[in-house]
Amino acid sequence: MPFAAIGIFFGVVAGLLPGLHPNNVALMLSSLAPSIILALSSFTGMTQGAAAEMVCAAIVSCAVSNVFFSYLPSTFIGAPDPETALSILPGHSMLMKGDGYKAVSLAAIGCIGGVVFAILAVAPFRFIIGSPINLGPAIKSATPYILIAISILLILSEYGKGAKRVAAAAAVFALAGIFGIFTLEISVSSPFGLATTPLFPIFTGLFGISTMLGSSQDAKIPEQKTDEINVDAKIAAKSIATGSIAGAFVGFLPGLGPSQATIVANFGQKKFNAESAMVSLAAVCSADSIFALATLFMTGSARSGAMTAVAEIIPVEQWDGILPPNSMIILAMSALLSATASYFLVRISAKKFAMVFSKLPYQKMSRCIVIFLIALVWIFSGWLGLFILAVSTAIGMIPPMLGIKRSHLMAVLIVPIIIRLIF
Amino acid sequence: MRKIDLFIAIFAVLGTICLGAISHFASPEEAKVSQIPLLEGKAVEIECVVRQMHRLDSGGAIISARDPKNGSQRFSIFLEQCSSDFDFGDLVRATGKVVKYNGEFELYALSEKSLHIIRESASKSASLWVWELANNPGEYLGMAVEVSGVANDCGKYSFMLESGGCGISVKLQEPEHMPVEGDDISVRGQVIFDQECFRYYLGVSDAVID
Repeated sequence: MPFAAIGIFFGVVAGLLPGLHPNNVALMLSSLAPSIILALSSFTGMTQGAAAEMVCAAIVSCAVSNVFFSYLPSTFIGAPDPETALSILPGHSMLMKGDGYKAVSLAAIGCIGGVVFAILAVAPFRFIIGSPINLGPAIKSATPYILIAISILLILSEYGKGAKRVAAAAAVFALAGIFGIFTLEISVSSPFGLATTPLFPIFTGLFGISTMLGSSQDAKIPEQKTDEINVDAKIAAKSIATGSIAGAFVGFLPGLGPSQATIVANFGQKKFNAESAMVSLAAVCSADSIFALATLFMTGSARSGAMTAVAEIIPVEQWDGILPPNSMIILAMSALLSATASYFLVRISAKKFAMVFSKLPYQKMSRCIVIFLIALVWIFSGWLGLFILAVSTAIGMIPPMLGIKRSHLMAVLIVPIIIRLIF
Repeated sequence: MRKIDLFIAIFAVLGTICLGAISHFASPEEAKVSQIPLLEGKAVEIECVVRQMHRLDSGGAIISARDPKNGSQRFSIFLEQCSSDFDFGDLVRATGKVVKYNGEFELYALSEKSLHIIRESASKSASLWVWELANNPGEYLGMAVEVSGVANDCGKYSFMLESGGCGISVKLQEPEHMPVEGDDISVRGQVIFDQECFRYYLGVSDAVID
């Protein structure tokens, strides 16, 4: 439990700071692991194996709590992770209606629902992907075609607004896809030697700064409501289920991230509004962290930075039988503990954020946030990162100009993955 | 459309084209294994076949690889961090910097993300020369290997596989497939140590005559 608490603390820090990914924390803990394990076993009498499991429990807790807390900056500041990028759209629209606290609370419900659903679904998942049903290889080989089908459906979803909008959506999809092909191969470097990828400037521009710049000049953040929220249990349950199932694919399939899975989850819902979007998107990310844990023990493949760190610290026992291995059970319990604590902590934090936020002048604050994000991009990605940010911001501003959805911009990840898997 | 919107759209398109150019010119140079000594300090991309993988306590790995067309041209890839497995015979594209370590040139990369598997090995066995196996059989003990050579001294259950003046004893599990003296053959099997006779041999289920 103390290690789960340490993990929660790091997850909170990583979640609140845009640009700092839990993978960085996992890497740091993994490199310190031998010293921590030695110290623990010397001072507490614990075996080295048990000490190693405690360190892994901290890493898993960090990954889970980060998911909860990343919705705070993405909703209130508009600063996205690649995983939470699509949530900026419903989150921002709810913020502008005075429902910022509600948006984060709904995300918290989605996160904890996703963790619980995933823990319950992990055993059937294992029997479907592995023996005796063994659908894993078939699903893997079908991935690029599933993504192509999703992309076509996404573009055609504009049909109700006219054929011109469909053409515009296809053009934006193509531009974002080409942008992704070029940019994901570029290596950016931090002037301060920090570990980085081009994803941060890409998503900050596409979904973060472009959203804020696109807000009306006269916009003002309304008074944020902090009353307790009312949630339609049926819609929430459906959103959690579709999001968690989509998250299962992310945890299992190589090259797929939560962003693509959220598009699948969107299609799984008939009645889809900003509120069900927040629940569903959050469930994808949190369920992904549990299914990534299951995938590690089923196939030995690490699908996330946290799981890579776990695989380096403890021997990963293959899950062949009916019951999962002991170490997987311990890590799943740590994830559940982290999810429970994070649920309450993030809602308390969101209430405080909401009470302070609406008192701040929106225009000035918006400018400060944009400057803050630009500075962060430079710190993590350097001058080339700033150029990528400028181009991605320009691309991110095109969909509202043409009256189409911003979700077409997810082509930035989908198109490179399709090309990599097919060719 | 307002003028500013048009400007933003044009900037988006031109910016994407610029990034394409940056990506193309900044991408590592494609090189062959034989060119490695000439490219010290440069970022390169090399297509190669995995021979062996050795994990390090630090979490990294050293991969021994060879040219896909010339098995005698070899080099090492040092990965700072590696949690994935690469199997013998996997055809990979390795991206990294050519560095010199202990007098030998190797490719240095941060993580396994610098290795992209083009084609996984179908046989999951190491492709070796007879002299490699004959000179240091202990290095391959327990491993699945694939070797080609000429069959000599063919008995009822075993024969000598020879090439380049070296030889290794091969025991066939199915003696019906015993080759004839002088046959050019390829065998796939496991390196085993005979405790009674104190020698190494290759235990195979099948031999393919070329």
